[in-house]
Amino acid sequence: MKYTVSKNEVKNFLDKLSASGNLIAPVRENSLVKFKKIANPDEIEFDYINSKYSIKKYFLLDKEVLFEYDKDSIKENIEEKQRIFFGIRPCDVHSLLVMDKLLLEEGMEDIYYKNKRKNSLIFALKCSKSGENCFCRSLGTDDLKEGYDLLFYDEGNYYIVKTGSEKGDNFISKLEEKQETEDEPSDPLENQKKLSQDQIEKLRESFNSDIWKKESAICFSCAGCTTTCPTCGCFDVKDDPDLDFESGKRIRLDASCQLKNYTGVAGGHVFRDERSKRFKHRIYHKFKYFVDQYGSEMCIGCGRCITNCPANIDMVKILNKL
Amino acid sequence: MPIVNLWGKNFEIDKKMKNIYKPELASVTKVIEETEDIKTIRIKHDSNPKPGQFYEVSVMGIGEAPFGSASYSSEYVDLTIRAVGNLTNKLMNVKQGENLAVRGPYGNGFPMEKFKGKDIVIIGGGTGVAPVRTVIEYIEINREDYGEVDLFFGFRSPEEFLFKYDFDKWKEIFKFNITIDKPYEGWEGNVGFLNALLEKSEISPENKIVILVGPPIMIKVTVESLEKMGFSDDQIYVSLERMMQCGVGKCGHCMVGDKYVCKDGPVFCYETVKGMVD
Repeated sequence: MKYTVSKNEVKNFLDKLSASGNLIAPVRENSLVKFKKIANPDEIEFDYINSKYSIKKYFLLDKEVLFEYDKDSIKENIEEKQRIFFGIRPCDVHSLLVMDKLLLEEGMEDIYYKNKRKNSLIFALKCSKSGENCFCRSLGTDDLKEGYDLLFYDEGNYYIVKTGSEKGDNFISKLEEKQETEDEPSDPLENQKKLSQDQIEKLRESFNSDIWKKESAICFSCAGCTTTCPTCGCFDVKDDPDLDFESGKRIRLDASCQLKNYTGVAGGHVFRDERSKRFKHRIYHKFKYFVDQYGSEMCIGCGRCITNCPANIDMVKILNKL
Repeated sequence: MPIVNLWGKNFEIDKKMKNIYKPELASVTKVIEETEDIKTIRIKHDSNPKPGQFYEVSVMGIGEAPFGSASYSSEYVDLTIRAVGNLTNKLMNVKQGENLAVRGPYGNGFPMEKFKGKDIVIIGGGTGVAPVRTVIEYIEINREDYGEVDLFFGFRSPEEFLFKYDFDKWKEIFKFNITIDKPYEGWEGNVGFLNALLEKSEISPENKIVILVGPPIMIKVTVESLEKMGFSDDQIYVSLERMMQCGVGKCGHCMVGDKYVCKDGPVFCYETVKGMVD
């Protein structure tokens, strides 16, 4: 269903959501936009391209306790609070759908991720303009067909709101000033970087190309791309023992395929010891391996890896050179 | 407007779901000293692994690592472990009656069903003999399903032999070949690398499947020898080693191309593997 809702009514709506203590929305702090728990809806930033970090950190924590152990037992603590996310961009909602394919694979579900997903409501907000590194249009991640409970389109003086789930319907039913509409929301995204499917397909013939050595020569292997990428979810599993060394926690920490020790095995051998191999692996994982495994690109076109690269490496530019 | 109550019944925590990262305790029923730095730890486990599958074994406070099963049994699992790092050194101190935290079995294992009716050549180098022992024990139980079985083992020296206590039994049932890298006082058997011994045997590739586990360099030269002897790549099955953390295809470390070694492997047909490059 589609409704038009006044901006004032949406503000009231967010007022009530923030009073519940469960609302997480974008705020601007020291010029950086990030997702934070909201106490007062006036804090919410509406005029932003996208957050510096994606909402991945709310679903796959940087450091997550898997269980606690002591001398004779293992105890898990799986309790997740209900959360409402307002203002997630459509591309980032797509990133959750990508992560779902990996982490909610039937029979092999990641219980920690699953509980966080299940107990989160997604109120997405369509972008009003493109950022300089956006290429969501090319990957079809600029809009949503699924993955949201409510989807807001800013139409200037009012919002068009789409409902995408029963929970979304429940929420919208409590809004007093709303009108069903058949209008299509406007589609303002222009001037994006372009990446065609044909170009992505060329990866299949380019594995032995010398472009990888050439383009990775300026890479610092700093892991900035993987840290800010909304679909990079690799992790290490480590123990964090207490001082008595009998009890402690098993934790997972985010890991990066760009770091050398990522493929190191007992005895010291490192499989992807060359920087160019690690550089190439990430691009191939995003645009070929994941396609072969799960049927879609692992990239959602947010451009964060480009924006945050200290060497100004532009993955789209490289792919377009193939 | 009590908006949050709308959630009400939809809010739930799935506590009954299986947690793929949580190990279970298993008691150690036997510890066998194989060599100076290798032990076989037998745990009580009714998980009944397929030949070639592996387990994630924990020492709480240090972490966990993958180890191939060295046995084929519905009651226990033998883990043959060399002391090379913090975790494995700690595992050397494990005593009978203590508990280990274990997850698994994981991985695909060798497709033994597919090999039915074939002659099997089993080649193991060093600690690579441990995972092929599962295949040997499987064939012992299902002897009538397979043709001739040739075993080829290579060790650095007689001091490095694993499963010495099984040798007599295997010599009776199978064609048993063993070699050591360098001459050793009192050793009257074969000396030299495995691939040389293999070439000398002049076995024909007809109706054969080769199971090959060992260090990367050994795999490389042995495959070259096999190819020279007329074997094709689709007759050769290898088990790969990679950095693994989760063991279930989530953490990303063991990816080679579009394959997860933990989930799609560790057993691969050589035809597939040779195209898998970093």
